[in-house]
Amino acid sequence: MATARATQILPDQGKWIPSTCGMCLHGCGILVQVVDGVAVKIEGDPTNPDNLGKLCPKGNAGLARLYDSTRVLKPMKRTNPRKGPGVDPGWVEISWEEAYTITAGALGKVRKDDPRKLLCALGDFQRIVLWGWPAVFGSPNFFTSLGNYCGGSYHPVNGSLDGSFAAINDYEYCNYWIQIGSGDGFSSHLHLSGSALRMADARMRGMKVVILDPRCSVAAAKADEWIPIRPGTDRAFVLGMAHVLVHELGQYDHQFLRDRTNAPYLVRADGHFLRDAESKAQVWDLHVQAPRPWDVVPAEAMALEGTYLASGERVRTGFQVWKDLLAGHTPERMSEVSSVPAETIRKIAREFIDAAQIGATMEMDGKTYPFRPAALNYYRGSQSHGNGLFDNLTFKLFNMLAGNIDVPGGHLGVPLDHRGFFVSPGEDGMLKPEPHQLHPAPPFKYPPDSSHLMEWFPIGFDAGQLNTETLLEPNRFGLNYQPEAMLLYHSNPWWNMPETGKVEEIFRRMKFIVAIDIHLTESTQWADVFLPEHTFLESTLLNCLEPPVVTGHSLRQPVVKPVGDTKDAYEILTELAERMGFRDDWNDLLNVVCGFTAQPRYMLDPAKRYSVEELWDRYARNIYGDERNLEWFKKNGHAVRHRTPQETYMPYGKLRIPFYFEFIQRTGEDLRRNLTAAGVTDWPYDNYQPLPFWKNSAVIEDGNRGYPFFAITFKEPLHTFADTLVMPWLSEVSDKDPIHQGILINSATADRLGIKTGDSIRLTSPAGSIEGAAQCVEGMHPEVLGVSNAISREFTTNKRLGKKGSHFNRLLTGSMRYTDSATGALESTARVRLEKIGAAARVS
Amino acid sequence: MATQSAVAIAPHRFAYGYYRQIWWNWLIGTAFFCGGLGGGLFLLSLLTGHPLGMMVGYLIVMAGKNTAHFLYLGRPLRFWRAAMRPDRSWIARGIWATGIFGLFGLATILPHVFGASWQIGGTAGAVVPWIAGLAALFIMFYDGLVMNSSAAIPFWNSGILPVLVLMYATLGGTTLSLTLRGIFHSGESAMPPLVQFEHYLLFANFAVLGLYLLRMSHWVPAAQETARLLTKGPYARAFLGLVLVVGLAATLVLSVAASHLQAVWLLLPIAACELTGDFTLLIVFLKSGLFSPQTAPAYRN
Amino acid sequence: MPRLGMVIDLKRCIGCNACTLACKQENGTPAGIHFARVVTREVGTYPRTKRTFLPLLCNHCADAPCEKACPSGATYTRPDGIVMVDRDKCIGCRACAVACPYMNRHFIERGFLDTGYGGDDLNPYEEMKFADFEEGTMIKCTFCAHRVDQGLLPACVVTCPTEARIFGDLEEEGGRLAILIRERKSWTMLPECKTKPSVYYLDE
Ligand SMILES: Nc1nc2c(c(=O)[nH]1)N[C@H]1C(S)=C(S)[C@@H](COP(=O)(O)OP(=O)(O)OC[C@H]3O[C@@H](n4cnc5c(=O)[nH]c(N)nc54)[C@H](O)[C@@H]3O)O[C@H]1N2
Ligand SMILES: Nc1nc2c(c(=O)[nH]1)N[C@H]1C(S)=C(S)[C@@H](COP(=O)(O)OP(=O)(O)OC[C@H]3O[C@@H](n4cnc5c(=O)[nH]c(N)nc54)[C@H](O)[C@@H]3O)O[C@H]1N2
Ligand code: SF4
Ligand code: SF4
Ligand code: SF4
Ligand code: SF4
Ligand code: SF4
Ligand SMILES: [Mo]
Repeated sequence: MATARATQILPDQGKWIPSTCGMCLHGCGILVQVVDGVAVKIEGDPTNPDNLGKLCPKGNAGLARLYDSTRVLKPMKRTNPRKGPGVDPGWVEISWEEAYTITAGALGKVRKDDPRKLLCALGDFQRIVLWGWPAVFGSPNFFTSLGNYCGGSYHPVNGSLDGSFAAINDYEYCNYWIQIGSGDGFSSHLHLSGSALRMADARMRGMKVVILDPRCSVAAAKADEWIPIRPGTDRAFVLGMAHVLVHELGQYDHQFLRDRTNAPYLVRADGHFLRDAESKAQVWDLHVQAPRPWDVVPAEAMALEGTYLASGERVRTGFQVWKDLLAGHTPERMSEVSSVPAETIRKIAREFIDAAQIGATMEMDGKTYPFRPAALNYYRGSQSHGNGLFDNLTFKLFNMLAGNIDVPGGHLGVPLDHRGFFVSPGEDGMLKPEPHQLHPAPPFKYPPDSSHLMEWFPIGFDAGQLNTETLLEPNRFGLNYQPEAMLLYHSNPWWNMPETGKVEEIFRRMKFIVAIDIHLTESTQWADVFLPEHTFLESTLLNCLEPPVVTGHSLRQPVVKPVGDTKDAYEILTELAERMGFRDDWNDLLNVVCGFTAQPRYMLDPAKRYSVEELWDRYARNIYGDERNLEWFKKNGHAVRHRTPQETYMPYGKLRIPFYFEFIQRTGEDLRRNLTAAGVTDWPYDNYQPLPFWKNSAVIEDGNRGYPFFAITFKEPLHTFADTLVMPWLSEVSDKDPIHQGILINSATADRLGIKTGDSIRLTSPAGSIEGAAQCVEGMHPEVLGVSNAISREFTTNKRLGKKGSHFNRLLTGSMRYTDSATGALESTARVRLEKIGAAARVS
Repeated sequence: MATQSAVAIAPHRFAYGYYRQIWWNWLIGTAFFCGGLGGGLFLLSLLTGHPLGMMVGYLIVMAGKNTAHFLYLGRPLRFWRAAMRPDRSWIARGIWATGIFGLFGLATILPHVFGASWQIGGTAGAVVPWIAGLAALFIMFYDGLVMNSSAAIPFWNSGILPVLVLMYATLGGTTLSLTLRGIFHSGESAMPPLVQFEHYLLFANFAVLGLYLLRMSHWVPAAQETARLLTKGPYARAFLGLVLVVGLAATLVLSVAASHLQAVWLLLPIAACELTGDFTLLIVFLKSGLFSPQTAPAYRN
Repeated sequence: MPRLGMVIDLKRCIGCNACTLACKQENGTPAGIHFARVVTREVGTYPRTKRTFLPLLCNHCADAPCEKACPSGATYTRPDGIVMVDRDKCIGCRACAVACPYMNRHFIERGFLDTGYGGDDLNPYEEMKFADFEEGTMIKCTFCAHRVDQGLLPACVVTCPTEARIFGDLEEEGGRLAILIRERKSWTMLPECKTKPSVYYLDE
């Protein structure tokens, strides 16, 4: 019959293989249909409670990645010694043997000479277990802005607050959801596919959503209220709201702050806790009107607020200290900073605290929890700034005023992986802060070993962008070696780091670059040897990464034979380790990061070589027991389940969580002692503060240096960074959406400057300038220009794509001045001048 | 917002806006043009007993119109399928009319070529020309019905369109008929009244065209937008210049001049002007056909 | 016989285009052709403005102008209401394309099937999928008839992250679609075209 068919392949043909999506870091469960050895369809795995059978557009485009025409399918070496954009590397295909020999030779030489001379850019969050390779090689260097362009301050603060890695509001019970600079549940951040469903359900049951963003994002478009705000000033808005709660309304969760945090601990003039002979932190006992150890004073006698005289010395509770700080942060003043009207600040604060239902409780599995259905969620946009630590602390403290941390309806920590929250007792009845979860904090060292000065960031996240300053002026930082080689693995540092010009200069200086990647990018085109990796549909791993509501691993497994002569990254790195003679140390390290040391019977024998399958089989059995081995996962796909209330709510149990971050101040003081002793005199310590307040950052000050506008970057559902732009399936869609068709500018602003859609404009920041076509829209703050990742690409080998314009990061500065001195987080907003450089060719 | 008022160029289909139909191009325009012109010429010549005109008209339809259609089809070899659904499709009906015209038109013409021996005797012989004539008449205006039968493109979706198409077909037929008579010195006796007729037609077409635009510029937004495209937008030059000035005004002036100066040589430029206007009209009407923007009722303007 | 239809809840929809891509991979349509797509529009003026998202696909009109316009009978309506094109009958006259008020007819121009998305040769997936298409013919959204016939939901429906797309029988008494259409503010696209769409939208 005239077939009722769109395709000859029917859903019941071939086989459906369970696996895990690799189009972004999070890893939704997928089922892949394979017919005659060809992958023909990817669908969400309905049995996986994470994404419940849903897939975002990128996940739906997975096949295009597997069969992408831009993929490199054989090892290659460059024949043209000249390097740089536009220069043809003169690639020739070579055998793996030759590729390994060249690479191991070149890197081996560096290693013998000084392993620190290797710059490493490792990406791929789904394979964190491989990130230790440089350490075994001997290089401490981190040459990428993976993670610190977004979570540089975020992860340390989450880890210090409740042992989490990320955070999200309670999709299930929250009724009033403030979201600042984040696409959670709408376009980006945690597990988009499943989060979008949870957010939609929450909105349908009447949850109110308030979005703060300089741009009318997807979230803003769907929100009950969009509040445009000046970039980098979100903290001011929230400090203003905190002022309203504490000074105007006097509404906050007194009991939570007193019983579950260190807010009542007494603070001395020097910012340290008042301690007794046994160095126990003191609180004010209202009954005896004297300071006494925190653990002997009954709750009802413990003062949350107040300034007291303790044997002649003036002391204040931690809460009082912030309250006094907040006094100056009136909505009026914060309004001038953020451009959000004072009455809006007051209105949102009131709505929020009323919705929080302070005092309410909820029964769950026979346990009673506080019920606080109002919370403030946030991510990259709102705190990837020069004072990111203050931003994060402010947002957390504001949530704490409602007593909503890790309680039903509130602001919930999200663990890094299956291990859940990092909960262990610290000092003074507090939870032990865990600012570092990806690798242990390196001890202080002068001269520094790492080119990004990791030894000088005791609570920070690897500040990759600092390479642009340290490598170009090494003496200023006592850096006593010059890197010569670079390892690129699943990473595009040329693209992802600030100050592109300087990043390029560093690429230029490399004597040898090896890339483990799937295609040629702005970075990998510089490689001397290119080692082609499998795509996610050809490789193997077990993934569990910052899942908002679930836990447990899902398996990535090859669904088809490799399309080309490619290998799995683990194999490649292991082979290189072996050829350079440190495979044994590599195995030892894997034993640690994979947690095999906990159960020695799974430990890798340093003397042996293990296959990808053997590694992940042990990984599975180590966590799930011998019956749930790799074979089991291959059949069942995943061991993902919902987190239980016990796993989700109040993980800190009886331990107190920090309100007054004394340990941050102490860390800063230790660092100052160390650096001063080492003779470093010009290092900034000003962000090592126990409590946040408003102070201008470098970009705010650039406003007075002749750069009136702000420029921001943003993500949308269609793309992962700018990487997926090379996939025509995705870019042909984004190319047809106005917000991805040019530099977004508020139409009124454009009118004022005589700019029309399509005109070419130039943005110039203190660091550099970019050009593009203007796209006039209503949904942009009048002082802000928006640059989608979809127009922020300068090189690909895709025939249909070509150049996509000039790269946003050329506008950013990587130096210490634009870096949070405590966390190493970079400033991801730039101040710019705007000029029209050409008129559009008018259509009709 | 600039991006939204501007006419989007298909297949830019992910943002709100007006979209032009991109499928029916100059080949369809040519087919419609030939259908109207040839049918008009045939019918007029039939009525005024002008065999040469009948033959030329017949050829324009059978060779011109059909070839253009054939060349346009995605699967030309299946062309015959186009006749399958006369019950609902005006194209199918057109195919049938063209088929009938092919047979009966031929039967009407042949005697004039090979003499009486080819005459079909009796009443049958009397009705053959009539059927051919009716088929020609149908061919003259049915493309108007093809275009206006769907509400998809508001600018086309008007009862006046078939009338306009018919009038242009008649005008075209008349012009060409005059040219042929003048050049080949055949049937010149009928020229003076035909010239009169042509002048009236020119005014009438102008009037109907004006009426059409007036109606459209007060109808649904998509129709208004097309009217804007024709009078101010990218198609204004072609429409105002070629259709109105050249096609109607110049034709009128020249043919008035011609009839006063008795200048036969002017007939060619006259035909050129009129046919240019005729053809251009069809092309710009096809090109400027816009779909109504799709948006929620709450946001419809 | 049921009348298959879809309800799209614009309050849920976040304009992510997962439907667009799910349709793309399910049907393997050539470059530039999208049976499913999402039209965005900015409404209002700063700061009282927002982006709206409007997912589009064939309305499977009960009174389908594309079918009326089709001279060859290639376009037909199945008893369950799905409007289909029989590629073996299609002559490529594009009458349906100018007759569809919703631009849901897609013509396979010459050459469309010669180059894949990479801009050159077809990849193995495209080899398989393109085999279903024929140059010079019309293709369109089939409501995933091939899935529906196997008792599955359309590809765009199963993938929709917000479950904004609900597929089923419009006529089923007390059915999910009927209830939503009745109880929420619902409408169909361009009613003035009198096409009786089987795709309904629920207001934000
Ligand atoms: N679709 C998609 N999802 C992703 C990724 C992706 O590339 N694409 N990447 C993953 C990774 S690694 C990360 S870090 C997360 C990032 O997840 P998000 O933080 O949600 O993503 P962004 O778009 O970078 O930033 C969020 C919003 O911040 C806004 N913004 C920019 N500057 C400011 C500001 O100063 N203040 C405020 N209030 N808003 C501002 C932007 O307009 C944007 O709408 O997403 C992850 N998930
Ligand atoms: N302008 C701008 N800059 C940004 C951001 C932004 O939004 N705008 N986001 C920032 C953030 S939050 C982050 S986390 C970073 C992310 O920056 P990156 O980590 O560099 O981004 P990715 O796209 O995840 O990975 C980079 C490269 O991995 C390669 N790749 C993809 N799949 C595979 C695979 O299966 N195997 C291998 N070996 N390689 C593969 C691709 O070539 C891709 O270019 O960028 C930061 N920089
Ligand atoms: S959210 Fe990430 S992992 Fe999930 S489907 Fe989308 S791209 Fe894949
Ligand atoms: S997939 Fe669902 S949410 Fe996304 S655009 Fe389509 S209908 Fe809207
Ligand atoms: S939407 Fe268009 S293609 Fe679909 S049935 Fe209606 S008229 Fe036909
Ligand atoms: S193009 Fe095909 S389906 Fe469309 S009207 Fe012509 S024959 Fe029918
Ligand atoms: S129903 Fe099937 S064919 Fe139609 S838009 Fe959805 S996925 Fe595409
Ligand atoms: Mo990130």
